[in-house]
Amino acid sequence: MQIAIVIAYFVILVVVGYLAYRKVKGSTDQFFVAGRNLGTFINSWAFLASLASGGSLMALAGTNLSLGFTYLAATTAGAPVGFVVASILVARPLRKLGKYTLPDYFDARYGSVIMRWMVPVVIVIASMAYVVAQLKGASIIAGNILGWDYNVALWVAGITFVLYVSIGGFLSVTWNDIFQGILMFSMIVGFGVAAYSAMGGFDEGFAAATANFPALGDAGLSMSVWAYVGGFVTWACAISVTPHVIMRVFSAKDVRSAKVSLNTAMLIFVAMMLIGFLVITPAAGGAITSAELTDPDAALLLLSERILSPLFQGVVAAALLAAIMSTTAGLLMACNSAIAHDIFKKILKPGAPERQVVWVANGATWVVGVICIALAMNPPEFLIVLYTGAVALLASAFFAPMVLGIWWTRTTTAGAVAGMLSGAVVFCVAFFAFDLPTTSEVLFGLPTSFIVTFVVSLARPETAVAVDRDSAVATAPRHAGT
Amino acid sequence: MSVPPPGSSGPDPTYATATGRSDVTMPRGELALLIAIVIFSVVTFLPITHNVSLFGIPLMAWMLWALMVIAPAVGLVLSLRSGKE
Repeated sequence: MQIAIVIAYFVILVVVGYLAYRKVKGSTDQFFVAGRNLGTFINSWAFLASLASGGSLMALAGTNLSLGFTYLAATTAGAPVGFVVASILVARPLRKLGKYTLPDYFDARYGSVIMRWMVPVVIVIASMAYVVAQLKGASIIAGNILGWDYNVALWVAGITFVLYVSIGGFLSVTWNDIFQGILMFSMIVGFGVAAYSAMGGFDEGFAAATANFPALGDAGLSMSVWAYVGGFVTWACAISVTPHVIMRVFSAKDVRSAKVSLNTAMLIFVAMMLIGFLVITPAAGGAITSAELTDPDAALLLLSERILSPLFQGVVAAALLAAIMSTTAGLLMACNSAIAHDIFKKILKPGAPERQVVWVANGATWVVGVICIALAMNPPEFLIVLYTGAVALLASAFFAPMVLGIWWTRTTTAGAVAGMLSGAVVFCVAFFAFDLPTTSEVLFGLPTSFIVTFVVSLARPETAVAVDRDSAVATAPRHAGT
Repeated sequence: MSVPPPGSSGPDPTYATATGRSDVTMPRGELALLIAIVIFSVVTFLPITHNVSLFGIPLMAWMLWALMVIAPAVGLVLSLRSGKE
Protein backbone atom coordinates (compact mmCIF):
# COMPACT_ATOMS: atom_id res chain seq x y z
CA MET A 1 0.00 0.00 0.00
CA GLN A 2 2.76 2.47 0.98
CA ILE A 3 4.73 1.67 -2.18
CA ALA A 4 1.63 2.23 -4.36
CA ILE A 5 0.99 5.63 -2.77
CA VAL A 6 4.59 6.76 -3.15
CA ILE A 7 4.80 5.58 -6.77
CA ALA A 8 1.51 7.36 -7.54
CA TYR A 9 3.02 10.48 -6.03
CA PHE A 10 6.13 10.20 -8.23
CA VAL A 11 3.96 9.74 -11.34
CA ILE A 12 1.92 12.86 -10.49
CA LEU A 13 5.13 14.89 -10.21
CA VAL A 14 6.36 13.83 -13.65
CA VAL A 15 2.95 14.39 -15.28
CA VAL A 16 2.82 17.90 -13.81
CA GLY A 17 6.35 18.47 -15.14
CA TYR A 18 5.21 17.46 -18.62
CA LEU A 19 2.19 19.78 -18.51
CA ALA A 20 4.48 22.63 -17.47
CA TYR A 21 6.86 21.74 -20.33
CA ARG A 22 4.05 22.28 -22.84
CA LYS A 23 3.48 25.76 -21.41
CA VAL A 24 7.16 26.80 -21.15
CA LYS A 25 7.97 26.19 -24.84
CA GLY A 26 11.58 27.38 -24.68
CA SER A 27 10.87 30.76 -23.05
CA THR A 28 13.45 31.80 -20.42
CA ASP A 29 10.86 34.03 -18.70
CA GLN A 30 8.56 31.01 -18.31
CA PHE A 31 11.39 28.59 -17.49
CA PHE A 32 13.18 30.67 -14.82
CA VAL A 33 10.37 32.73 -13.20
CA ALA A 34 7.11 31.12 -14.45
CA GLY A 35 6.14 34.14 -16.52
CA ARG A 36 6.48 36.48 -13.50
CA ASN A 37 2.77 36.40 -12.74
CA LEU A 38 2.31 33.94 -9.86
CA GLY A 39 -0.50 34.97 -7.51
CA THR A 40 -0.46 35.21 -3.72
CA PHE A 41 -2.16 31.87 -3.02
CA ILE A 42 0.15 29.95 -5.32
CA ASN A 43 3.30 31.65 -4.11
CA SER A 44 2.37 31.20 -0.43
CA TRP A 45 2.22 27.41 -0.76
CA ALA A 46 5.28 27.43 -3.01
CA PHE A 47 7.28 29.48 -0.46
CA LEU A 48 6.19 27.02 2.23
CA ALA A 49 7.22 24.00 0.18
CA SER A 50 10.57 25.60 -0.65
CA LEU A 51 11.38 26.20 3.01
CA ALA A 52 9.93 23.11 4.69
CA SER A 53 12.59 20.57 3.88
CA GLY A 54 13.16 17.02 5.01
CA GLY A 55 15.16 18.41 7.91
CA SER A 56 12.27 20.58 9.08
CA LEU A 57 9.85 17.68 9.37
CA MET A 58 11.92 14.53 9.80
CA ALA A 59 14.33 15.90 12.40
CA LEU A 60 11.65 17.67 14.39
CA ALA A 61 10.64 15.07 16.97
CA GLY A 62 14.03 13.37 17.27
CA THR A 63 16.01 16.58 17.71
CA ASN A 64 13.62 17.81 20.40
CA LEU A 65 13.78 14.51 22.26
CA SER A 66 17.58 14.41 22.14
CA LEU A 67 18.47 18.08 22.73
CA GLY A 68 15.37 19.56 24.37
CA PHE A 69 12.96 22.03 22.81
CA THR A 70 15.22 25.07 22.74
CA TYR A 71 17.77 24.29 20.02
CA LEU A 72 15.21 23.44 17.35
CA ALA A 73 13.05 26.35 18.54
CA ALA A 74 16.00 28.67 17.83
CA THR A 75 16.68 27.37 14.31
CA THR A 76 12.97 27.05 13.50
CA ALA A 77 12.18 30.59 14.71
CA GLY A 78 15.02 31.92 12.59
CA ALA A 79 13.21 30.99 9.36
CA PRO A 80 9.90 32.85 9.97
CA VAL A 81 11.87 35.84 11.20
CA GLY A 82 14.07 35.55 8.10
CA PHE A 83 11.02 35.64 5.84
CA VAL A 84 9.78 38.79 7.59
CA VAL A 85 13.24 40.33 7.22
CA ALA A 86 13.23 39.39 3.52
CA SER A 87 9.77 40.83 2.98
CA ILE A 88 10.85 44.14 4.52
CA LEU A 89 14.45 44.49 3.37
CA VAL A 90 14.68 42.86 -0.05
CA ALA A 91 11.27 41.94 -1.55
CA ARG A 92 10.34 45.35 -2.96
CA PRO A 93 13.63 46.33 -4.63
CA LEU A 94 14.20 42.84 -6.00
CA ARG A 95 10.72 42.42 -7.46
CA LYS A 96 10.83 45.90 -9.00
CA LEU A 97 14.19 45.15 -10.57
CA GLY A 98 12.47 42.61 -12.84
CA LYS A 99 15.34 40.12 -13.16
CA TYR A 100 15.61 36.35 -12.74
CA THR A 101 18.19 35.48 -10.10
CA LEU A 102 20.22 36.60 -7.11
CA PRO A 103 23.35 37.15 -9.25
CA ASP A 104 21.20 39.41 -11.47
CA TYR A 105 20.69 41.70 -8.49
CA PHE A 106 24.39 41.85 -7.62
CA ASP A 107 25.28 42.45 -11.25
CA ALA A 108 22.73 45.22 -11.63
CA ARG A 109 23.72 46.90 -8.39
CA TYR A 110 27.49 46.56 -8.53
CA GLY A 111 28.49 45.43 -12.03
CA SER A 112 31.57 43.65 -10.69
CA VAL A 113 33.35 41.04 -12.82
CA ILE A 114 34.50 39.24 -9.64
CA MET A 115 30.93 39.03 -8.36
CA ARG A 116 29.66 37.91 -11.76
CA TRP A 117 31.72 34.72 -11.34
CA MET A 118 31.79 34.37 -7.56
CA VAL A 119 28.06 34.61 -6.81
CA PRO A 120 26.83 31.83 -9.12
CA VAL A 121 29.75 29.57 -8.18
CA VAL A 122 29.04 29.95 -4.44
CA ILE A 123 25.33 29.36 -5.11
CA VAL A 124 26.02 26.14 -7.01
CA ILE A 125 28.41 24.81 -4.33
CA ALA A 126 26.09 25.67 -1.42
CA SER A 127 22.99 24.36 -3.21
CA MET A 128 24.69 21.06 -4.06
CA ALA A 129 25.62 20.48 -0.41
CA TYR A 130 21.99 21.18 0.49
CA VAL A 131 20.69 18.81 -2.23
CA VAL A 132 22.96 15.95 -1.16
CA ALA A 133 21.64 16.23 2.41
CA GLN A 134 18.04 16.18 1.16
CA LEU A 135 18.69 13.13 -1.03
CA LYS A 136 20.12 11.26 1.91
CA GLY A 137 16.93 12.06 3.85
CA ALA A 138 14.77 10.75 0.97
CA SER A 139 16.63 7.48 0.92
CA ILE A 140 16.33 7.06 4.71
CA ILE A 141 12.55 7.49 4.42
CA ALA A 142 12.25 4.98 1.62
CA GLY A 143 14.47 2.56 3.50
CA ASN A 144 12.49 2.85 6.74
CA ILE A 145 8.93 2.91 5.46
CA LEU A 146 9.03 1.24 2.08
CA GLY A 147 11.85 -1.19 2.73
CA TRP A 148 13.74 -0.07 -0.36
CA ASP A 149 17.49 -0.40 -0.61
CA TYR A 150 19.24 2.94 0.08
CA ASN A 151 20.76 3.25 -3.40
CA VAL A 152 17.58 2.18 -5.22
CA ALA A 153 15.55 4.76 -3.32
CA LEU A 154 18.22 7.36 -3.98
CA TRP A 155 18.19 6.88 -7.76
CA VAL A 156 14.39 6.61 -8.03
CA ALA A 157 13.81 9.80 -6.03
CA GLY A 158 16.76 11.62 -7.60
CA ILE A 159 15.85 10.86 -11.22
CA THR A 160 12.20 11.76 -10.58
CA PHE A 161 12.93 15.25 -9.37
CA VAL A 162 15.62 15.87 -12.00
CA LEU A 163 13.10 14.81 -14.64
CA TYR A 164 10.32 17.13 -13.57
CA VAL A 165 12.63 20.10 -13.01
CA SER A 166 14.43 19.68 -16.33
CA ILE A 167 11.32 19.39 -18.47
CA GLY A 168 9.14 22.02 -16.87
CA GLY A 169 11.51 24.47 -15.17
CA PHE A 170 10.24 26.85 -12.50
CA LEU A 171 6.61 26.47 -13.59
CA SER A 172 6.79 22.73 -13.01
CA VAL A 173 8.51 23.26 -9.66
CA THR A 174 5.83 25.77 -8.67
CA TRP A 175 2.87 23.60 -9.62
CA ASN A 176 4.40 20.67 -7.78
CA ASP A 177 5.23 22.90 -4.81
CA ILE A 178 1.56 23.80 -4.39
CA PHE A 179 0.61 20.14 -4.39
CA GLN A 180 3.49 19.27 -2.07
CA GLY A 181 2.85 22.17 0.32
CA ILE A 182 -0.81 21.23 0.77
CA LEU A 183 0.14 17.56 1.16
CA MET A 184 2.71 18.42 3.88
CA PHE A 185 0.30 20.64 5.80
CA SER A 186 -2.51 18.05 5.62
CA MET A 187 -0.15 15.32 6.77
CA ILE A 188 1.06 17.27 9.80
CA VAL A 189 -2.48 18.21 10.84
CA GLY A 190 -3.71 14.62 10.41
CA PHE A 191 -0.63 13.22 12.14
CA GLY A 192 -1.14 15.72 14.97
CA VAL A 193 -4.74 14.58 15.52
CA ALA A 194 -3.68 10.92 15.55
CA ALA A 195 -0.74 11.65 17.88
CA TYR A 196 -2.93 13.61 20.32
CA SER A 197 -5.44 10.76 20.42
CA ALA A 198 -2.68 8.23 21.00
CA MET A 199 -1.05 10.06 23.93
CA GLY A 200 -4.36 10.56 25.78
CA GLY A 201 -3.99 14.26 26.60
CA PHE A 202 -1.12 16.69 26.72
CA ASP A 203 -0.27 16.35 30.44
CA GLU A 204 -0.06 12.56 30.30
CA GLY A 205 1.90 12.59 27.04
CA PHE A 206 4.34 15.21 28.23
CA ALA A 207 4.93 13.39 31.53
CA ALA A 208 5.64 10.13 29.69
CA ALA A 209 7.92 11.88 27.21
CA THR A 210 10.01 13.62 29.88
CA ALA A 211 10.30 10.33 31.77
CA ASN A 212 11.79 8.70 28.64
CA PHE A 213 13.75 11.74 27.49
CA PRO A 214 14.71 14.00 30.45
CA ALA A 215 16.30 16.59 28.09
CA LEU A 216 12.80 17.51 26.93
CA GLY A 217 11.85 19.10 30.23
CA ASP A 218 15.31 20.46 31.08
CA ALA A 219 15.29 24.23 31.51
CA GLY A 220 19.07 24.46 31.00
CA LEU A 221 20.86 24.58 27.66
CA SER A 222 22.34 21.37 26.27
CA MET A 223 24.93 23.26 24.19
CA SER A 224 26.76 26.58 24.24
CA VAL A 225 24.33 29.51 23.98
CA TRP A 226 26.24 30.62 20.87
CA ALA A 227 25.00 27.49 19.05
CA TYR A 228 21.43 28.68 19.64
CA VAL A 229 22.21 32.26 18.66
CA GLY A 230 24.09 31.08 15.56
CA GLY A 231 21.27 28.78 14.45
CA PHE A 232 18.77 31.61 14.82
CA VAL A 233 20.93 34.24 13.08
CA THR A 234 21.84 31.86 10.23
CA TRP A 235 18.24 31.41 9.16
CA ALA A 236 17.12 34.94 10.02
CA CYS A 237 19.71 36.31 7.59
CA ALA A 238 20.04 33.48 5.06
CA ILE A 239 16.44 33.59 3.84
CA SER A 240 17.05 36.97 2.18
CA VAL A 241 19.89 35.52 0.10
CA THR A 242 18.80 31.90 -0.36
CA PRO A 243 18.50 31.59 -4.14
CA HIS A 244 15.53 29.22 -4.33
CA VAL A 245 13.53 31.52 -2.04
CA ILE A 246 14.57 34.73 -3.78
CA MET A 247 13.58 33.33 -7.19
CA ARG A 248 10.03 33.19 -5.86
CA VAL A 249 10.16 36.91 -5.08
CA PHE A 250 11.09 37.52 -8.73
CA SER A 251 8.18 35.33 -9.87
CA ALA A 252 5.49 37.16 -7.87
CA LYS A 253 3.01 39.23 -9.86
CA ASP A 254 3.73 42.39 -7.82
CA VAL A 255 5.54 43.64 -4.71
CA ARG A 256 2.53 43.41 -2.41
CA SER A 257 1.82 39.85 -3.51
CA ALA A 258 5.44 38.88 -2.85
CA LYS A 259 5.32 40.31 0.68
CA VAL A 260 1.92 38.85 1.54
CA SER A 261 3.03 35.44 0.21
CA LEU A 262 6.22 35.47 2.29
CA ASN A 263 4.33 36.18 5.52
CA THR A 264 1.38 33.88 4.80
CA ALA A 265 3.72 31.00 4.02
CA MET A 266 5.44 31.52 7.34
CA LEU A 267 2.20 31.48 9.33
CA ILE A 268 1.34 28.12 7.74
CA PHE A 269 4.89 26.89 8.45
CA VAL A 270 4.66 28.06 12.08
CA ALA A 271 1.34 26.25 12.54
CA MET A 272 2.95 23.05 11.23
CA MET A 273 5.98 23.43 13.47
CA LEU A 274 3.91 24.15 16.60
CA ILE A 275 1.90 20.98 16.01
CA GLY A 276 5.25 19.22 15.74
CA PHE A 277 6.64 20.78 18.92
CA LEU A 278 3.59 20.57 21.17
CA VAL A 279 1.81 17.43 19.99
CA ILE A 280 3.96 15.14 17.85
CA THR A 281 7.13 15.49 19.96
CA PRO A 282 5.54 14.51 23.31
CA ALA A 283 3.60 11.74 21.57
CA ALA A 284 6.83 10.37 20.11
CA GLY A 285 8.57 10.70 23.47
CA GLY A 286 5.83 8.69 25.14
CA ALA A 287 5.65 5.98 22.48
CA ILE A 288 9.41 5.47 21.99
CA THR A 289 12.04 4.74 24.61
CA SER A 290 15.50 6.29 24.49
CA ALA A 291 17.01 2.82 23.86
CA GLU A 292 14.86 2.41 20.74
CA LEU A 293 15.85 5.77 19.31
CA THR A 294 19.23 4.95 17.79
CA ASP A 295 18.76 7.53 15.00
CA PRO A 296 16.96 10.72 16.13
CA ASP A 297 15.95 11.49 12.52
CA ALA A 298 13.87 8.30 12.49
CA ALA A 299 11.69 9.28 15.49
CA LEU A 300 8.83 10.54 13.32
CA LEU A 301 8.87 7.37 11.26
CA LEU A 302 8.92 5.17 14.38
CA LEU A 303 5.91 7.03 15.77
CA SER A 304 4.18 6.66 12.42
CA GLU A 305 4.63 2.88 12.59
CA ARG A 306 3.26 2.76 16.14
CA ILE A 307 0.08 4.80 15.75
CA LEU A 308 -0.90 4.99 12.08
CA SER A 309 -2.56 2.61 9.63
CA PRO A 310 -0.51 1.40 6.61
CA LEU A 311 -2.50 3.73 4.34
CA PHE A 312 -1.66 6.80 6.41
CA GLN A 313 1.94 5.66 6.77
CA GLY A 314 2.13 5.83 2.98
CA VAL A 315 0.74 9.36 3.05
CA VAL A 316 3.33 10.31 5.67
CA ALA A 317 6.09 8.88 3.48
CA ALA A 318 4.80 10.80 0.46
CA ALA A 319 4.52 14.02 2.49
CA LEU A 320 8.07 13.67 3.84
CA LEU A 321 9.32 12.98 0.33
CA ALA A 322 7.33 16.05 -0.79
CA ALA A 323 9.13 18.15 1.82
CA ILE A 324 12.46 16.91 0.56
CA MET A 325 11.73 17.08 -3.14
CA SER A 326 10.15 20.52 -3.17
CA THR A 327 13.20 22.02 -1.48
CA THR A 328 15.54 19.99 -3.65
CA ALA A 329 13.77 21.01 -6.85
CA GLY A 330 14.00 24.67 -5.88
CA LEU A 331 17.70 24.29 -5.20
CA LEU A 332 18.19 22.52 -8.50
CA MET A 333 16.49 25.44 -10.23
CA ALA A 334 18.90 27.75 -8.42
CA CYS A 335 21.82 25.71 -9.76
CA ASN A 336 20.59 25.48 -13.34
CA SER A 337 19.75 29.19 -13.49
CA ALA A 338 23.18 30.05 -12.03
CA ILE A 339 24.86 27.95 -14.72
CA ALA A 340 22.61 28.67 -17.72
CA HIS A 341 21.54 32.24 -17.07
CA ASP A 342 24.28 33.74 -14.91
CA ILE A 343 27.35 32.02 -16.37
CA PHE A 344 26.44 30.78 -19.87
CA LYS A 345 24.14 33.57 -21.05
CA LYS A 346 25.66 36.52 -19.22
CA ILE A 347 29.37 35.68 -19.40
CA LEU A 348 30.16 32.96 -21.91
CA LYS A 349 27.62 33.53 -24.72
CA PRO A 350 25.69 36.80 -24.32
CA GLY A 351 23.91 36.47 -27.66
CA ALA A 352 22.56 32.99 -27.02
CA PRO A 353 18.91 32.52 -28.06
CA GLU A 354 16.36 31.74 -25.34
CA ARG A 355 15.80 28.17 -26.51
CA GLN A 356 19.55 27.47 -26.25
CA VAL A 357 19.65 28.87 -22.70
CA VAL A 358 16.76 26.62 -21.72
CA TRP A 359 18.59 23.63 -23.21
CA VAL A 360 21.73 24.50 -21.25
CA ALA A 361 19.57 24.77 -18.11
CA ASN A 362 18.15 21.31 -18.85
CA GLY A 363 21.64 19.89 -19.28
CA ALA A 364 22.85 21.60 -16.11
CA THR A 365 19.93 20.12 -14.17
CA TRP A 366 20.90 16.60 -15.21
CA VAL A 367 24.64 17.09 -14.60
CA VAL A 368 24.15 18.67 -11.17
CA GLY A 369 21.42 16.17 -10.26
CA VAL A 370 23.49 13.13 -11.16
CA ILE A 371 26.57 14.50 -9.34
CA CYS A 372 24.46 15.06 -6.23
CA ILE A 373 22.97 11.56 -6.43
CA ALA A 374 26.48 10.12 -6.81
CA LEU A 375 27.74 12.11 -3.79
CA ALA A 376 24.71 11.01 -1.75
CA MET A 377 25.57 7.33 -2.38
CA ASN A 378 28.43 7.71 0.07
CA PRO A 379 27.43 10.74 2.11
CA PRO A 380 30.00 12.06 4.58
CA GLU A 381 28.96 11.73 8.23
CA PHE A 382 29.11 15.46 8.76
CA LEU A 383 26.53 16.07 6.05
CA ILE A 384 23.96 17.85 8.23
CA VAL A 385 26.63 20.14 9.59
CA LEU A 386 27.82 20.74 6.03
CA TYR A 387 24.30 21.65 4.85
CA THR A 388 23.74 24.10 7.69
CA GLY A 389 27.18 25.45 6.95
CA ALA A 390 26.24 25.92 3.28
CA VAL A 391 23.29 28.12 4.26
CA ALA A 392 25.44 30.05 6.72
CA LEU A 393 28.06 30.58 4.00
CA LEU A 394 25.41 32.21 1.80
CA ALA A 395 24.41 34.49 4.68
CA SER A 396 28.02 35.37 5.55
CA ALA A 397 28.95 36.21 1.97
CA PHE A 398 25.80 37.78 0.49
CA PHE A 399 23.64 39.31 3.24
CA ALA A 400 25.69 42.43 3.99
CA PRO A 401 26.39 43.42 0.33
CA MET A 402 22.73 42.75 -0.51
CA VAL A 403 21.14 44.73 2.33
CA LEU A 404 23.65 47.57 2.38
CA GLY A 405 23.46 47.80 -1.41
CA ILE A 406 19.73 48.40 -1.18
CA TRP A 407 19.51 50.60 1.88
CA TRP A 408 22.82 52.49 2.07
CA THR A 409 23.55 54.54 -1.04
CA ARG A 410 27.19 54.99 -0.04
CA THR A 411 27.90 51.27 -0.58
CA THR A 412 30.51 50.97 -3.32
CA THR A 413 31.37 48.09 -5.61
CA ALA A 414 34.80 47.75 -3.96
CA GLY A 415 33.18 47.69 -0.53
CA ALA A 416 30.64 45.05 -1.55
CA VAL A 417 33.25 42.82 -3.20
CA ALA A 418 35.55 43.12 -0.17
CA GLY A 419 32.64 42.43 2.19
CA MET A 420 31.51 39.40 0.20
CA LEU A 421 35.00 37.90 0.00
CA SER A 422 35.89 38.59 3.63
CA GLY A 423 32.57 37.21 4.92
CA ALA A 424 33.02 34.00 2.93
CA VAL A 425 36.69 33.57 3.89
CA VAL A 426 36.18 34.26 7.61
CA PHE A 427 33.23 31.89 7.69
CA CYS A 428 35.21 29.11 5.98
CA VAL A 429 38.19 29.59 8.31
CA ALA A 430 35.89 29.51 11.36
CA PHE A 431 34.08 26.44 10.00
CA PHE A 432 37.05 24.33 8.95
CA ALA A 433 39.94 25.50 11.15
CA PHE A 434 38.34 25.94 14.58
CA ASP A 435 36.25 23.71 16.81
CA LEU A 436 33.51 26.27 17.49
CA PRO A 437 30.02 25.53 18.83
CA THR A 438 27.73 24.09 16.12
CA THR A 439 26.23 26.73 13.78
CA SER A 440 28.04 29.59 15.51
CA GLU A 441 30.51 30.25 12.65
CA VAL A 442 28.11 32.70 11.03
CA LEU A 443 28.59 34.97 14.06
CA PHE A 444 32.11 35.63 12.77
CA GLY A 445 31.48 35.75 9.02
CA LEU A 446 28.43 37.99 9.05
CA PRO A 447 29.77 40.86 11.21
CA THR A 448 33.06 40.75 9.29
CA SER A 449 31.20 41.16 6.01
CA PHE A 450 29.21 44.13 7.35
CA ILE A 451 32.25 45.87 8.82
CA VAL A 452 34.44 45.39 5.73
CA THR A 453 31.68 46.50 3.33
CA PHE A 454 31.08 49.56 5.48
CA VAL A 455 34.73 50.53 6.00
CA VAL A 456 35.87 49.99 2.39
CA SER A 457 32.84 51.89 1.09
CA LEU A 458 33.57 54.79 3.41
CA ALA A 459 37.17 54.88 2.18
CA ARG A 460 35.89 56.32 -1.12
CA PRO A 461 34.85 60.00 -0.81
CA GLU A 462 31.09 60.58 -0.94
CA THR A 463 31.42 63.00 -3.84
CA ALA A 464 33.11 60.30 -5.95
CA VAL A 465 30.30 57.84 -5.18
CA ALA A 466 27.70 60.41 -6.22
CA VAL A 467 29.57 61.16 -9.46
CA ASP A 468 29.75 57.41 -10.25
CA ARG A 469 26.03 57.05 -9.67
CA ASP A 470 25.10 60.11 -11.75
CA SER A 471 27.35 59.14 -14.65
CA ALA A 472 25.99 55.58 -14.60
CA VAL A 473 22.43 56.84 -14.91
CA ALA A 474 23.43 59.30 -17.61
CA THR A 475 25.13 56.76 -19.87
CA ALA A 476 23.31 54.65 -22.43
CA PRO A 477 21.34 51.74 -20.91
CA ARG A 478 23.08 48.37 -21.02
CA HIS A 479 20.01 46.39 -20.01
CA ALA A 480 17.44 47.80 -22.34
CA GLY A 481 14.31 45.74 -22.47
CA THR A 482 14.52 44.21 -19.02
CA MET B 1 16.12 40.69 -22.25
CA SER B 2 19.50 41.95 -23.41
CA VAL B 3 22.59 41.57 -21.31
CA PRO B 4 25.82 43.46 -20.77
CA PRO B 5 28.84 42.50 -22.86
CA PRO B 6 31.22 40.05 -21.21
CA GLY B 7 33.78 41.67 -18.98
CA SER B 8 31.85 44.92 -18.68
CA SER B 9 32.02 46.51 -15.28
CA GLY B 10 30.17 49.08 -13.23
CA PRO B 11 26.63 49.22 -11.93
CA ASP B 12 23.66 48.82 -14.24
CA PRO B 13 22.58 52.36 -15.23
CA THR B 14 18.95 51.32 -15.12
CA TYR B 15 19.31 50.00 -11.57
CA ALA B 16 18.70 53.26 -9.73
CA THR B 17 15.44 53.95 -11.52
CA ALA B 18 14.34 50.32 -11.73
CA THR B 19 14.46 49.81 -7.98
CA GLY B 20 13.83 53.33 -6.80
CA ARG B 21 17.08 53.02 -4.86
CA SER B 22 17.69 56.72 -4.80
CA ASP B 23 14.45 57.34 -2.93
CA VAL B 24 13.97 53.96 -1.30
CA THR B 25 12.28 54.33 2.08
CA MET B 26 11.01 51.95 4.71
CA PRO B 27 7.49 52.41 6.07
CA ARG B 28 7.51 53.29 9.77
CA GLY B 29 5.51 50.20 10.68
CA GLU B 30 8.07 47.91 9.03
CA LEU B 31 10.96 49.74 10.67
CA ALA B 32 9.25 49.37 14.05
CA LEU B 33 8.72 45.66 13.41
CA LEU B 34 12.39 45.15 12.55
CA ILE B 35 13.53 46.99 15.68
CA ALA B 36 11.07 45.02 17.81
CA ILE B 37 12.36 41.73 16.35
CA VAL B 38 15.96 42.67 17.14
CA ILE B 39 15.16 43.73 20.72
CA PHE B 40 13.00 40.67 21.39
CA SER B 41 15.70 38.37 19.95
CA VAL B 42 18.43 39.91 22.11
CA VAL B 43 16.30 39.59 25.25
CA THR B 44 15.46 35.98 24.37
CA PHE B 45 19.11 34.96 24.35
CA LEU B 46 20.14 36.87 27.49
CA PRO B 47 21.32 34.76 30.46
CA ILE B 48 18.15 35.58 32.41
CA THR B 49 16.20 33.13 30.25
CA HIS B 50 18.68 30.28 30.38
CA ASN B 51 17.51 28.31 33.40
CA VAL B 52 13.88 29.28 33.69
CA SER B 53 11.01 27.04 32.67
CA LEU B 54 7.29 27.63 32.32
CA PHE B 55 4.84 24.68 32.41
CA GLY B 56 7.80 22.33 32.11
CA ILE B 57 9.16 23.94 28.94
CA PRO B 58 12.21 26.28 28.87
CA LEU B 59 11.34 29.98 28.81
CA MET B 60 13.70 30.54 25.88
CA ALA B 61 11.68 28.06 23.80
CA TRP B 62 8.42 29.81 24.70
CA MET B 63 9.91 33.17 23.70
CA LEU B 64 11.21 31.83 20.38
CA TRP B 65 7.84 30.28 19.59
CA ALA B 66 6.14 33.58 20.42
CA LEU B 67 8.56 35.40 18.14
CA MET B 68 7.95 33.03 15.24
CA VAL B 69 4.19 33.55 15.53
CA ILE B 70 4.13 37.29 16.13
CA ALA B 71 6.74 38.36 13.55
CA PRO B 72 5.00 36.94 10.44
CA ALA B 73 1.54 37.83 11.80
CA VAL B 74 2.49 41.49 12.15
CA GLY B 75 4.40 41.32 8.86
CA LEU B 76 1.28 40.01 7.12
CA VAL B 77 -0.89 42.79 8.55
CA LEU B 78 1.62 45.41 7.38
CA SER B 79 1.82 43.82 3.92
CA LEU B 80 -1.95 43.72 3.55
CA ARG B 81 -2.18 47.38 4.52
CA SER B 82 0.43 48.39 1.93
CA GLY B 83 -0.67 49.47 -1.52
CA LYS B 84 0.06 47.63 -4.77
CA GLU B 85 3.31 48.61 -6.51
